[in-house]
Amino acid sequence: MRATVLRDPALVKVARRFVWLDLDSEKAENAAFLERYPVEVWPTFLVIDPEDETVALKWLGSGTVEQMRTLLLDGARAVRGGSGDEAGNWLATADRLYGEGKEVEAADAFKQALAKGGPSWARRPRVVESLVLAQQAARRYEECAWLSRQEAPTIPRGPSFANAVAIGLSCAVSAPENAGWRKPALAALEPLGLEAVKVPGLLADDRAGLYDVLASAREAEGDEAGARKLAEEYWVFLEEERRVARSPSARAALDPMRVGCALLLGDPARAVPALQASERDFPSDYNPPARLAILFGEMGKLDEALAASDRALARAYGPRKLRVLDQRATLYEKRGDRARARSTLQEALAFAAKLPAAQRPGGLLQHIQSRLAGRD
Amino acid sequence: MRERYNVAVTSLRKILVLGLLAAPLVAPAAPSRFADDFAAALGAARARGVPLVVDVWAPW
Repeated sequence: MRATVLRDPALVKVARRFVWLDLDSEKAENAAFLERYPVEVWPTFLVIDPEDETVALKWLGSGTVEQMRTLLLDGARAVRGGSGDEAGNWLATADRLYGEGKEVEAADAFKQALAKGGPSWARRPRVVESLVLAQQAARRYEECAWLSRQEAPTIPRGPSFANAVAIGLSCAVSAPENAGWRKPALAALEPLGLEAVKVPGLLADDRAGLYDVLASAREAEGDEAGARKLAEEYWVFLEEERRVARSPSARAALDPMRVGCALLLGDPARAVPALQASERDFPSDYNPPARLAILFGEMGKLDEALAASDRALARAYGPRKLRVLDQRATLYEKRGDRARARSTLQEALAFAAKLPAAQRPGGLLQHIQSRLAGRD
Repeated sequence: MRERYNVAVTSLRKILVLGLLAAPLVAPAAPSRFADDFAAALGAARARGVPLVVDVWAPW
């Protein structure tokens, strides 16, 4: 998105009504900001009221030019405290609550906004998407999937429809296998997902996310052949995106999806050429070699994997270095070198201890500790 | 999009032209784009009376 949407002249024009801050969450100098405004999804956009420094609107993930334009305008309204009409005021309240991390209360306010706005309200698609997202963030997976089933079909077939369906599907896939509501939710949402993945004008990463969650839904249903068929379609889409990408950045933006899809297909080698091209294009970026290390590791080419891991470690900084070390320990384990696997995990913990508290990835640290304790 | 200071060309021209006529009355335009400096960005937003948008990203 940084390579495409944020450079669009239509968005640049609206962005002039704001002050804009690009903040790399991996840098130590940004720890104090993250202490105050914790972030768990990248990218996250915050619209902050400069007077009281509160978050008036928070948006997770990417968006099309039109979506980002709408969000900026809604953010400005939320800073002002609303728009004068009842639906707009409820929306401003909901955005503020969500920005404060009060997802349950935000979901209720988004529902009020939808009720007041009515079926033809121009903001309805964006609010449906935000409502479903708030339920997911609150880990209310059943309600998330239910709202996605109920509300997504009522909005125009555009990016918000696709995202609301993808989030609902993701909630259904996240449910425990024995949850009674899971199977009917998947049955209702998968056809919507198959419709959404064909919607014109989606961002490439949103479409990729849909393919990914649709394949996961098939896997959740125990349908390996169906999952594979979708993953093959997904790969064709990713290759086409690589072919038509207008810049190396636009092409590399889908690298994580390429790796995920190749692993899903049990064929890691197919993603190697794209990742090697990215490493040539971005010689100071740790991501391409870190991803090559995963691919080579899965292919059993452990020397090449460790060499790629060396290159990644030399370029990585901040919390992401922990992930490179965690992957490196896996490579040593695959080689049967348990002592070096262990010392690499200990090195990761020692590195984490030096990071500012707000930049320590809790989930990953727990995982590393479990590995060291022999539980994982 | 990633340049640190993004002073609009038109504003700059205005400053240059007006500067010849009434230099003491014209203040330089506040920067509208920052990188990794919350305090400076917040100060600029306050000075201009506009909201601050923060794009929290990571190299991935």
